[in-house]
Amino acid sequence: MKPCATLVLNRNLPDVTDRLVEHLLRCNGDVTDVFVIESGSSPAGRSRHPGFCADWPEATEHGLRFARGFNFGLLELEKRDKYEQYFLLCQDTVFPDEPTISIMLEEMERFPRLGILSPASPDWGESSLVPERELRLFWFINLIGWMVRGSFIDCVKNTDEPSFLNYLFDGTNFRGYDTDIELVAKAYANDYSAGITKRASFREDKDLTDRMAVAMKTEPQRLNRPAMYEEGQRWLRRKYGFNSRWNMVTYTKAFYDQFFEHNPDYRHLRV
Amino acid sequence: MTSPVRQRTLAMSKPLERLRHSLQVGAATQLGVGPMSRHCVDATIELANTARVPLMLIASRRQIECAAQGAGYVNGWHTADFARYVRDHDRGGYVVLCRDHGGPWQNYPEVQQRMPLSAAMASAKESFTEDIEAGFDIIHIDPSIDIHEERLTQKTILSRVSEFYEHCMEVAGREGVRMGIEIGSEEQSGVDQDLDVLANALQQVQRFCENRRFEAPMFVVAQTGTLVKETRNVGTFDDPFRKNGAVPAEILVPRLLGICAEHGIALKEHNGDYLSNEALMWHPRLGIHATNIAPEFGVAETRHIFRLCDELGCAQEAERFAELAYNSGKWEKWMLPGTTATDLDRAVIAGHYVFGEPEFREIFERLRRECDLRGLDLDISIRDAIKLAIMRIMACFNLCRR
Repeated sequence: MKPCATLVLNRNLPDVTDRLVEHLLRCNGDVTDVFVIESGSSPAGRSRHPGFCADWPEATEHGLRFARGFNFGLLELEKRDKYEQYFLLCQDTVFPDEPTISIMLEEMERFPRLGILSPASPDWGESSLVPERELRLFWFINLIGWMVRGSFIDCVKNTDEPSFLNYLFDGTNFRGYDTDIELVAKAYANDYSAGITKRASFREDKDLTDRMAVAMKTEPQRLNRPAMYEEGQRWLRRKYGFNSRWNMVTYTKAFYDQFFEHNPDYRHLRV
Repeated sequence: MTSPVRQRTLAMSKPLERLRHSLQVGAATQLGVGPMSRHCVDATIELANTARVPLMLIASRRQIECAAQGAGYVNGWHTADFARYVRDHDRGGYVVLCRDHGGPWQNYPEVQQRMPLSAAMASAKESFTEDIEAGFDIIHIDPSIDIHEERLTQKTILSRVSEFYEHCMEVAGREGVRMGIEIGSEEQSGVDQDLDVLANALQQVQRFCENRRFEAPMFVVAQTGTLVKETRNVGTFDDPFRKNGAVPAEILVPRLLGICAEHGIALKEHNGDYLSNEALMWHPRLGIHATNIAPEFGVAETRHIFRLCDELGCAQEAERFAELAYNSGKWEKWMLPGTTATDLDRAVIAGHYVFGEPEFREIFERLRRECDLRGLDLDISIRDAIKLAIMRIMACFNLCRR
């Protein structure tokens, strides 16, 4: 059995998703199985690669977005198989022509307390804080492409009537603002960590949603972003009593700082 | 080489002592106010004395300059006049006089004359000398600009910092005063953008101070993700979404504060103008030691003057003021690429640059006459408007509860 399951989120862009999946299989097929999560895609908008299809009316109408989408995919996959690592990818991820996943698996093996690992993007300013071909731990990492350790998922997943709304990410926050950072906090709170490695890289095709909004049946960023932030603020208030995104930053940072007290052998990875 | 100055034998001004104490206590972010006009200076003095908290007046060389170099654009004040005015009015001793961005080519004449390096260095030293002699409490040494060289190396910048540091300490020793030094720059290349480079620069400056037995710098300026354009803060600090190529403020600010703590130096943020209340309120909670805010207060004054013109039916005066401000062209450096700002928006941005012009004084006197007719004190009205703007910041920075 392969050590990694890669889950790619697709929303009505079969060509883009197929290209990504085929690239992954070509460069990393020896170490990963790839599954496509159809995030309410119409029959014509689905990838030709196998996976899991969210086809109920609400999903078709609004899509699942990353939190509900990955919850759904992980939950479905769990019914079939268990993997050591799960690589969660949004469909706008673009990888260079090299075996990204095997490198990331090596990093996960080298650092057993690493719960979440992201490749570095040259468009991210924080990549400058990571030395060449090294890894550093952060308290704030955006989810575009995360490798998540299976044992960490087991440690924090919802086992009480799990669903696409609550399995790993909090899907009640539909567009997912700060739910990725919430998972980073959960990692550090449970003695796991979250890092960015410069041994692997990717780019986010940032304009994809704007270019293809109609085909995707989704909103362009100018509508999505304010709605995402507003929902995120309401969710932070409702769930944590936080009135600012900075609350989540300091909350996560506190767990981050604590992690190094318990794991002195990871101190050299601190930024 | 000059002899080392033993700072502990020197006298510290009451305002500086209070500022140092406040920094030690923590729990608040200290505020640096740009002296955009006489009204702005008055408002700062009044608020500092009413709230009994130290407030810094941060004068750039373009705003306030020594007599030999032709004063600055604020009220025609020379350095000594400005310092005397503040000390005379600051009865309680709460206003900390600060030089902001002192260094070569940081005033208009040195740039206009395209001064060579040696002359610009000498001119900057002359300016620093007068600052210290006039009783300035904190000197910001910023030699990051060189009009003859686009990208200065860190080595060159640090060598110039050392030269000015030595000069300032020598003058302070001669004057028998203990003052604070601020280093770093938020916008120029090299020293501050890369966190490792910043840490390295701090280490080198500290080593220099130890060798010379100088007091270490009080503040370091570093980019926290604030950027003023037009009348907005367009940096990452107040933006909930990431910007391409920038370190998110969520990572940058805690990291910067960590570096400052390692080196025992306080972080001074620049360009804190127009931040939301939420962003401002997080400053003390995150532990940002101090913030400079300037154009926001100049714009508050300009807007208030336009509002008064409107209320008093002084359309002609408003038009002349707008024309004068627009024609100054001082708005240019503040504009966003592809801006949709109107001519009036641009005039609002540049208004405070022309308060010292004779033509504006004429407009202002006509406005004063209209106010007098209605029993309104124009100066108080303007001061109050600026005070409101400063109080918003003070409240968010925990400075009103001290």
